Amino acid sequence: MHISEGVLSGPVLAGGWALAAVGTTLGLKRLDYDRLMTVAMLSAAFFVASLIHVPIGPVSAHLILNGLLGAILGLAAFPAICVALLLQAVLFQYGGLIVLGANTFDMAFPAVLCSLVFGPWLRRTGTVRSVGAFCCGFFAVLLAALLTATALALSGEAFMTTAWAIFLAHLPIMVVEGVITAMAVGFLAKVRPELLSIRLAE
Amino acid sequence: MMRVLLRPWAMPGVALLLAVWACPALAHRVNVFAYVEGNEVVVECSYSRSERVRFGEIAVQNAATGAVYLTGKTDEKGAFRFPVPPAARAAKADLRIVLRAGEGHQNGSVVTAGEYQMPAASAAPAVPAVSAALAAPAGIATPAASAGPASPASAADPVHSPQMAASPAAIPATTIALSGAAPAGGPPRTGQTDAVPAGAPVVAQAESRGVVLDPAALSALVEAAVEKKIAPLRAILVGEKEKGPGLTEILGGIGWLVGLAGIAAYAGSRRGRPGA
Repeated sequence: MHISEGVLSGPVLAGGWALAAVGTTLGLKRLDYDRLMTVAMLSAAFFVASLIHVPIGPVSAHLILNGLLGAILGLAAFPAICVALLLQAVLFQYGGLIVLGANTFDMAFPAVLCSLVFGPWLRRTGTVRSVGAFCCGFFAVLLAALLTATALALSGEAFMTTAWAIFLAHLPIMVVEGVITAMAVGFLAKVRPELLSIRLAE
Repeated sequence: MMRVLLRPWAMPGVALLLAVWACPALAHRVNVFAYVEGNEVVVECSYSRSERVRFGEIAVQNAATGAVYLTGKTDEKGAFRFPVPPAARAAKADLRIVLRAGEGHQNGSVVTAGEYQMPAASAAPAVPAVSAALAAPAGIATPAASAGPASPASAADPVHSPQMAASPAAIPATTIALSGAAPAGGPPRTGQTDAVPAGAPVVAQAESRGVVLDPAALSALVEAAVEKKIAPLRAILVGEKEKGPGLTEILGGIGWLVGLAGIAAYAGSRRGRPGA
């Protein structure tokens, strides 16, 4: 899901940076200092997740975890993902510095959107919470795939083929992420329920 | 709880694995490794050690101007080879090889003019040595036993190329034994310098087949031998490039995140924690 350097056209890169900057600024404004370590830990989780390869049949795919970040951090997922992607670009040569804005938006915006849509379910109990968490993980990856395809399409690649390829390749990951997010949220609800109590829309 | 969640998705998930089969790998980045082999440039493309870039689009450009010389697709094994474009050779241009693996994956590698012009450059000095060797059999072949007339004739060429001659001489000597191709470049030389009985049969063999060494053939032989020797080294280099991030990078990244959070927390505490 990391778009490489030199693929996107200038306007798309600029747009990505603008959107990522807005999101990151909003996220930092919302960032409560008491929750700083949570943000850092989840950022680290995101940073490492892409190294965890999940063998699914013939292919092995890596986790993204943007849904989990959205579910727990809300808008603060933007700075968390931005910093983690920056470190991935610098240390692993995944993605790149110029394309960082677009990559950040592609992954962080779905996270925030999912937390807005499914957030209320997370604060319920039982099956509803699990389903909400699963949807968070599932749709965050799905939307990220669509946004990536859109960014590529705006830069000249055929949208349908690209989107379809990315979508198919990520379908197993969506399921895995949904399950992981549901498990993590279920665990947190038992151990640290206050982590799930963020209010985004206020 | 998890089982309940898993079950509805298990069926479509399994069904879609078949569809995923045909999909390109999910990867972070693509690796491009290009090297010159004789007159050709070989490009090896991979996502990781085991995952090759199949049918990735390759464009070969002039590194300075960006003019595209040729395009193509990698094969099943992620390899692509092309002869050095004459236009690039004439312009002494560096070649930029760009791989577009689709879905936003792109990487490139540069082959400098010096790299692909080396074979031609090294072939040039080799030619006099070889032609000297070519001239030698005429003098040597008939009086192979009497090294007398041959040594003054060839006295000139050891002077300017003793070391240069040594390495080509060694390689054809071994290839003769293996393939029986019998290039005449090596044997006369061993005949001159070594004891006559050792060299004589070889010379006789070469003479009996009447093979005249072609400079191009010799350089091809040398190239093949060197290629064979450096193949393992190249494999190590490719492997090094395809290696994922190590523990150092991972721990370093986590350290950065903790450090940044620490700085932010410090800044927050200095500000008197507006939230509290």
